[in-house]
Amino acid sequence: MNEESKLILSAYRPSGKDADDPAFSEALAVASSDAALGQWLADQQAFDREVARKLAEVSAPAGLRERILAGGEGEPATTMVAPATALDGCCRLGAARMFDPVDPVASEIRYR
Amino acid sequence: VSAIDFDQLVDRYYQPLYRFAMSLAKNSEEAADLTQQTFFLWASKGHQLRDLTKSKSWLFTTLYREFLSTYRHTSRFPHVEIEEVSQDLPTIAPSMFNDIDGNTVLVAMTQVDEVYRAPLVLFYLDDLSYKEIADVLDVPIGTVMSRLARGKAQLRDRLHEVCNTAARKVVAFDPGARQQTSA
Repeated sequence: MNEESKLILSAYRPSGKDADDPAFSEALAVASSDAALGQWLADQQAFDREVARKLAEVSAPAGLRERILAGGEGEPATTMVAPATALDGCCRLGAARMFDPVDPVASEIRYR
Repeated sequence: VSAIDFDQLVDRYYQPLYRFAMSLAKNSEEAADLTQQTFFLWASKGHQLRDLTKSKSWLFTTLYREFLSTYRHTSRFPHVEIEEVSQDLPTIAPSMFNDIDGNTVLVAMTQVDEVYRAPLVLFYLDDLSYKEIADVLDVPIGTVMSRLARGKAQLRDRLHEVCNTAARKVVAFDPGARQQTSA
């Protein structure tokens, strides 16, 4: 089977939005004349359609739209605290190691 | 950009941006923050864009970069082998999708390697062409194609596992067996 055509057609959206893109013309023509590749494409498109349909079911949490609109007026995302959280986590881990009685590193520090 | 334009932009893109963020961050709270932060950056910098038709790519690009700079926990991308595309893939009948919901598909997607996951989700959101995905991820078009092919293969594997696990959890009711057990 034509592996290059399969690679190109992997990027062909099942919604038909790429139908006018000439980059797919040749691969689509090969698929229409090669039964095995045609079947592969039909299977691929059916799978892609289902995944896209299911993904579209996932909804943003209630209130996010309002938070975004409020944020657009000057407030940044209020819970963007990943670096601080990471730092806090390191401190907690360090503290836990210091006071862990079975931790050889902590024991070494404690009895030095 | 006017207030009305900003509202329209939010209404049009906050859901797909959230889905993209969710697939990257694997966490609803972080995904919501990433989405909010992206629009905040638009409000503070978006007016610098001369071509407003590029706002869609700008939003997805910005969210992806925010994720990479702030939330990303992995640091190495696996090497992509185009030959892997030709692997035999598990068959998933469209009817199997009747037994799973969108969140299950999203969970399966989060189990795909990150390097494949980002283009894969952008592809399935259906808002961006492969060329626009290449711009968002800042990779060549050929790389997008190979990552989509490999990502779909991984997604099929993960979904196949999910569907089989769900099927195993359905235990057939057998009254005869129950009577034998209680006897």
